[in-house]
Amino acid sequence: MFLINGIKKSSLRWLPAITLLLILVSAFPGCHSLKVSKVEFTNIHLDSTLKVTPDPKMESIIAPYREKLSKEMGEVLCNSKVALFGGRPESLLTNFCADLVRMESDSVCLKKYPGMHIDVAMVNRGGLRVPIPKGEVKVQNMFELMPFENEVIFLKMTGKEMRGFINHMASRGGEGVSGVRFGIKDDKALNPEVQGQPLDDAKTYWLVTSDYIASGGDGSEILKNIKERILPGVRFRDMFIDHLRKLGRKGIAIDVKLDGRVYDAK
Amino acid sequence: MGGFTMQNRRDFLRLLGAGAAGTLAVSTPLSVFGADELVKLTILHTNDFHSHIDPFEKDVPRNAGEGGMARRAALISQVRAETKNVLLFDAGDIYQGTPYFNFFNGKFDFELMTMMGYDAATIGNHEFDNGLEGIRSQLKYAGFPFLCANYDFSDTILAGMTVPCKIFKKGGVKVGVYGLGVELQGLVGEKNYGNTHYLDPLQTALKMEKILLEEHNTDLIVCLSHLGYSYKEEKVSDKILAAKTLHTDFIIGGHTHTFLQKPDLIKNLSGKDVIVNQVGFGGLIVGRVDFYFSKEKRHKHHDSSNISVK
Repeated sequence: MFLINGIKKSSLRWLPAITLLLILVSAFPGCHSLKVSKVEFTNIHLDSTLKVTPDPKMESIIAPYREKLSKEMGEVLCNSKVALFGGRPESLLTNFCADLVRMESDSVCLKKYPGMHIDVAMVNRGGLRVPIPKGEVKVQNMFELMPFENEVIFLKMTGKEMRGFINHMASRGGEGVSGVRFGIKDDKALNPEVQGQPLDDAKTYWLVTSDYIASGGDGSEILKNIKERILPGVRFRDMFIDHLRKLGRKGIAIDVKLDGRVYDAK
Repeated sequence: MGGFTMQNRRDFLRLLGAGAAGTLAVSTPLSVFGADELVKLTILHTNDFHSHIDPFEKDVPRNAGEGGMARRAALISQVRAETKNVLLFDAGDIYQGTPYFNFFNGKFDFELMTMMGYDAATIGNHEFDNGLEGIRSQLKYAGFPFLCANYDFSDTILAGMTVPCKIFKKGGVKVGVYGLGVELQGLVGEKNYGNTHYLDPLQTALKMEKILLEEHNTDLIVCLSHLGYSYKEEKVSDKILAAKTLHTDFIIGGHTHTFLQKPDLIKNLSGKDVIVNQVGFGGLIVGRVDFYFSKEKRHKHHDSSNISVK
């Protein structure tokens, strides 16, 4: 960076001077070493009790950026009849999001990859950062829900690989899934089903998830070795915003119920 | 590690460029420190800012209306107005958390931090959220260096854009600062960090502090750490780093969003107290530690005197 530029070239010229300086420094060994004799601290909270007026110059720089953002962020996409909270083994939030991703990915396939169908969607719990509120759902909520710039990825998996992945999700106490159903017992998946049928080790399935998960994020090492993968070039968040905007235009409000797709098996 | 020596040369150049600087450099401590006089150095620090440029929204369950860059800037100016020797550091995760980041990609955060006069920062795991290119393309907006001693970027597009450590001189006090980052594997998607080589943080720290103390005679050694405060599992944290190093005096932490009421004091390998501090996240708190230096010689290897945090 700017710290380094120009110094490399000229460094040799200064060698004699540096040597002289080193001699001078070492001649006074005690002078340049200081001792800490006392330490004080205050962790200063920027809360309402702190008497500090916002810096006017900085405030004036931030203001136009804030205005631009609030316009974009304030767009109401649709309404929700319920607040969607995350949780495990399943939750309104994870179920809704995974269903949305599977549905939208299938329509991406319809347009771009004829004949291909997405069987399973996985949206990791940890990637959904806040609940979706009841009432108006704005662009802002989508940015808060998924701040990361993750992209959608399709992976072609054998039934055996899918079984391994479902077991992995079971070991994490459940994840956001769509198109599958399984119980969790002793950290393992019980009776996994895909599209209403028992999981078949000999079949192949298409999974949609994020590029983060597909590259082994959140411990999904098992997905790293899947060779056949398609990046359709769609951001997760954009997929959500488009979907909710469509719902809003059709006058459809979000309304979801739990359906036991992931359950604790006793 | 090449950046270190270059940085060091820069310091020499700056001294020499000032004319008769050799004499100055040696005589500074004598002239600055009168008999029984203490010199005060104030270190201000933040971590895990996560693009919280505006104060927290009014309707959020916690910390509503708190934080905000414009207030932080005013606070920092206030401290600078009342005391002379101030250093301002950040321990990483500047990126990601509000739409400001998604829309402006870090540029805006860096520009505002530059305005506030940040002296240095380290790179947190969220700085990789838009890949190495997401760091490379934004660094030009930061008027302060990024200190990364255990991310070896030499095989990446970030080669030469960070330095492992830097020496700051304030009021005759020589402060050596190095930066440490958290392991990226499993935390950050592989394509986002590419050929970044992760070096063992503890071994790197031992190497850094030795260089800063023995080769550069620093009076205070500070680590900007994005390792995290502590873990249940066996993973290098600030607490472990403090206990297993020899010369690091102050660890400015991040990553775990830990709200410490007051800094921790942890005994290091030579029985000396190390200060560990971390101030939550989102720019809600600014950490402030004031060091008072006396002329007395600091023993290089075994300074067993204890610091009292008051």
